[in-house]
Amino acid sequence: MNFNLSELIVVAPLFWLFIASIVPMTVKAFRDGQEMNPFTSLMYATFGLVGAAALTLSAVKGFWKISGLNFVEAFSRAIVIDGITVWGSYIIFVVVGFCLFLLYDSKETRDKLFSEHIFLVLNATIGMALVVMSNNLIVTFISIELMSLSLYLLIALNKERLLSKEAALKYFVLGGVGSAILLYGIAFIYGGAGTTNLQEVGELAAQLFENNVFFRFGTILTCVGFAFKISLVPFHSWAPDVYQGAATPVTGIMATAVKVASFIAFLRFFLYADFYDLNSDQFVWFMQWLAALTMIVGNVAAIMQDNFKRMLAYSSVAHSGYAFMAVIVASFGTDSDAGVTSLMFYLLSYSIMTVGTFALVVVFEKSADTVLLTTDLKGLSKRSPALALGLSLLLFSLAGLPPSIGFFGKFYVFSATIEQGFYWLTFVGVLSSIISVYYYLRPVVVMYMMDGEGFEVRKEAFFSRSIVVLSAIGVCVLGLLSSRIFRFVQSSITESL
Amino acid sequence: MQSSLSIEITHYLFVSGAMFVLGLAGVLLRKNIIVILMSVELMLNAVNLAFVTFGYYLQDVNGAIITLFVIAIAAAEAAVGLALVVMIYKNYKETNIRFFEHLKG
Repeated sequence: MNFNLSELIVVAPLFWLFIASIVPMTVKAFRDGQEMNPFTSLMYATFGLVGAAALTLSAVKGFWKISGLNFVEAFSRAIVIDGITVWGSYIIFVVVGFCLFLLYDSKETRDKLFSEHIFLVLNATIGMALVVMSNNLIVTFISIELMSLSLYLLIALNKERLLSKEAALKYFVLGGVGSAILLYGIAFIYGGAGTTNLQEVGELAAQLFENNVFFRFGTILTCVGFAFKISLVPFHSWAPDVYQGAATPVTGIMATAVKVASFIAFLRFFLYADFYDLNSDQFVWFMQWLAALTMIVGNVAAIMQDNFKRMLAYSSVAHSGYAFMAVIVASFGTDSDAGVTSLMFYLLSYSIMTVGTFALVVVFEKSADTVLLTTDLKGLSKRSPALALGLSLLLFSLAGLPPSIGFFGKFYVFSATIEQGFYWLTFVGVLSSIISVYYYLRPVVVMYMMDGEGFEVRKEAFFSRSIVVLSAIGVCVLGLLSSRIFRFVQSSITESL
Repeated sequence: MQSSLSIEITHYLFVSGAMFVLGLAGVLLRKNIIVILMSVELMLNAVNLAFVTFGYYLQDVNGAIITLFVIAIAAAEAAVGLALVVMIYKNYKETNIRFFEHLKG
């Protein structure tokens, strides 16, 4: 058991984020409860995120150069920084940065308790950044709780929106049950393997899974707990309600950054395990059915939604299914690198597209009670051609139409599953993504073909409009560069494995 | 000679499993938010019992240490949950979940 100060440098980004998060609230306390100028608070928070990103990069470069390895471990191997961590935390920092600007633009979050919002968002970000670097099941659990507890409060923080209480409570109860199941699974894994370190567990995993009843029970419970967190289908029922009830920028964070973090936690759970030489197929079948059901139910339920935000919620459930296919490849395929790389690429593409569409919802929300129906978008192509084009590109990308990044995300996932022989799962994936084209194209039809008075574009929501346009440009440009990006992701991840 | 009355690992795990299932049943069946909160806490305590049991039988101190972490997390979760209940009581004048039917579809 040795501990040296240089290990603190590895987690310096987290300290930096925490310091940035308490600045606006501390100033508020010293000014007798008077808020800082929201823009100044926003700048502090952005500064925190940029600093954390820079610290992550410099720590990584420094340690990797010193050791000559492509990863660094700290705190008795409880924390590891490798390619997955770097990619995961960068996606998270960028997306949370976008969502901070959305928080500033949204009326319901800017006018009241803005510094508290900043505090909670940045603390949730600390949780997410810790999730992606955790190499120990207990650290994973604690960081997931840090993330979730901040989110429960963020959702409930809104005073006017009556639905937010209901959403917060539903999330709290189901999230609490999910955490308890996850933790019970961890307890049994600990009982079976005698350790909670993921690498040590992984080396024993396949053998223990067949011989040790505690370990098998624990693994399945842990999978169910993670399935709650990433909203796979039998455990997804909270997701649409919570996404609808929360303030839109918070929904944006939950649908993107939180999902990325939970997926990476799930991935790390399987990363070191050699489950591909299991004798029984039942576990693989269980996981494949989870993915297939998630894609089918998510896409079919999304067709029936009129509420734009709720449709996006079901679409994000469906996208969990696609990303989960990559997790299955990483855990049960012989070539786990292919699964890991396609998962990271998929999460990158999904986050960009989704944050753009939620930014569009913020553009239209005049007050906390505004409900944006799909038909409220009619005539948008006349009133604001740039926004209409941007949203169309984002929806094309979500549907997976060719030159966009969404197409390549799905393409790499499907080709990985085909190569590893998960044929029927791939078939279900392709089929359900064809179904999804229907509901993704409906808003486009409404915007371009139907005339009439829809919702006004809020002129003051400058940042949100920019984010819609920026992410639409990003979707196209990254789509054209996708093979290069994929190789970049691949080289940074596989060398560390 | 081993007495037939000695307490084995399975007994502890049985108690822990029973607590966990009771907690889960409480979450699924009860209508009052405060009872639901208590049920979630019961589930976390079942986890604690499992961790201590495994730690004892593996002769490993980590199990007991993890329990301390879980107790701290459970306290934080209870604090957040009770804050939510207070807010809901102020809005709905009731802590029953039957009023929660606005979000569906």
